[in-house]
Amino acid sequence: MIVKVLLSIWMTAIIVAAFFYADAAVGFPGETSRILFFHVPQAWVATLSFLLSMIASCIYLARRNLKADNLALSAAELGLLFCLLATASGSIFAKAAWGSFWNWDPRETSIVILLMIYGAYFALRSAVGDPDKRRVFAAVYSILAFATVPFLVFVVPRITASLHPEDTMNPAKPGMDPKTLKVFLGSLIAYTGLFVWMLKLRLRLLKLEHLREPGYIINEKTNLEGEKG
Amino acid sequence: MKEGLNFVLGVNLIIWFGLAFYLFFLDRKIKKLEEAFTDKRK
Repeated sequence: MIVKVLLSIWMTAIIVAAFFYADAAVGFPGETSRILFFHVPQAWVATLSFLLSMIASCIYLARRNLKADNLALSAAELGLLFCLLATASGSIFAKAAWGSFWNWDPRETSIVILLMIYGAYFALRSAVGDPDKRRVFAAVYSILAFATVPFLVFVVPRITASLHPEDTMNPAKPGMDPKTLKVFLGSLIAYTGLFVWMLKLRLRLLKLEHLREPGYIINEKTNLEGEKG
Repeated sequence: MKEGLNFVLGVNLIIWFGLAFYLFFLDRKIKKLEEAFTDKRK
């Protein structure tokens, strides 16, 4: 509980600091560069979620553990949610900076493809009736889907000409204002904490959903859920 | 410009407080369901 309260305070402080502590970056119209503190952490959490979903899917295929499947599903759901948020926030920036909400910039195009790939993950899950087959198909698909993530997130936008800001707002490159860097890193921590909180809630909900199913077995010693009997 | 900034900050804070309130509420509700299930099993 204390961690959650601290996270709430931390996130509030980051939001205030993003507007009043950090300075607007030079070379951007007005105050639009402040999108960095929200848009990039959202994209970071989306990538992290997809990675986690892929790892959990590998574990599920190796051990057939329901907990791993729940984790893969929850992480993919949150990944899609944060990917949509990153798309929406990026679109707002695009309107202010480039004059239109959507420009089919390489980064915008690649994120749409990514959204469609992970949207298909849920279509697949809902299309297969048999639970065991559904979990196996979803796990295999999640692994294959993640193979496209580095390509779509990191490679495509960098090998083609793009309107997307890179040099001035990339913390990996020298030149970022120390104040901006502090708030940016704080925001990454806050968003990661928020992701963990939401993930835990989703996992607990999934567990409750499973417990309602007849014949569901709980291993009392390990507290791990087993396959349906 | 600062007035616009205040407005965006306000919108951000309202969204964040709304989300945080919802998550705390959900947390509580799930905890109650978990407790109800544990009692049922006992």
